[in-house]
Amino acid sequence: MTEPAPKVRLTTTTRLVLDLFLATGPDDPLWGYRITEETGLGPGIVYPLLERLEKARWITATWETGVSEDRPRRRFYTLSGTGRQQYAALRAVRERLPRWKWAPGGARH
Amino acid sequence: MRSVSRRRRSPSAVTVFIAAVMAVAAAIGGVMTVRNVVAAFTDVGTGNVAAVVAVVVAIAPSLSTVVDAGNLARRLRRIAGRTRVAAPLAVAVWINGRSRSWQAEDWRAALTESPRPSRYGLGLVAAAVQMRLYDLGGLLVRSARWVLASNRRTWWPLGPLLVFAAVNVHRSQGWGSAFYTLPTIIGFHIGVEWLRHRWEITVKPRRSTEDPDGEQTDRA
Repeated sequence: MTEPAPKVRLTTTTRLVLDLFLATGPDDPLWGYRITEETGLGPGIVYPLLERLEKARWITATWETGVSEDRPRRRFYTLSGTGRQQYAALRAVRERLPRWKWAPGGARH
Repeated sequence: MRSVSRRRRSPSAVTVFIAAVMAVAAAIGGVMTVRNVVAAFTDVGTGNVAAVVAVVVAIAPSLSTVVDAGNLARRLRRIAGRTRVAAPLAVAVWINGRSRSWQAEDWRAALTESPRPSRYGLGLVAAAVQMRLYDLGGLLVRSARWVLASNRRTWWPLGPLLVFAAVNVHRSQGWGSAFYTLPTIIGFHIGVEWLRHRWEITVKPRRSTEDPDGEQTDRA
């Protein structure tokens, strides 16, 4: 039995990270530390999430090239075509769902 | 989006201890110096030139003691700082295991960038623990999928267990209570089917062999 690719659930943290990927261009790579700084999420959340997204093939990872000897290499992540499509599809489904809001006084807008 | 801000850190216990040691050393050195200087100058007053040399000799060891204490404190502080950063990273890499050893380089790069590396290192430990728990969850799900993929693997262990439960309830409480185990058995069946549907598991078809007459015979 082959292991299926993990399903990505659109939690708030997942959306934060994926929105950041959408906001940055392909020539502006993201790496773990930058994602933690830009989103305000801790490394304890970001790295497991990046791993899941990579296993689901939503993002692709490459090692930094041309780095000086005194600094370790970063691992750059970019949103893949599959990730872009799947995220857009999931967001469309999510937006079609009815949104229940609590309104004081019983009035629902 | 959050901007990076450097907060002022309160001194750690190690820093306070080193400062206390330095203060004591400086106080002892200072008292000795003052006593020696006073004694030497008293001699200078009487016209003894050698007393000037005595002043220098008196001051020098005390000063060197203070300088040595300062150097030691600086070195200890540097070691403590390095350990505070290196220890969580080492723990995180160890928890992560060999299959994710490649991540160590990326994490070292992140620690060099972070203004608070020790805190970031603790976050990396949390990340490693989470990834390991995710692995464990994946292993359990894979095992469950393997069991659910076959009726034999699912019901051969579950069936006798449920029958034993029904018999046990009948023996201890009578037929009336045993009758109420029926919903449990039905619940198990519904649960198994629901899991198969949710995980999109197709049950393995029964193995069949062709008999000499050309008819299909079920073995399982």
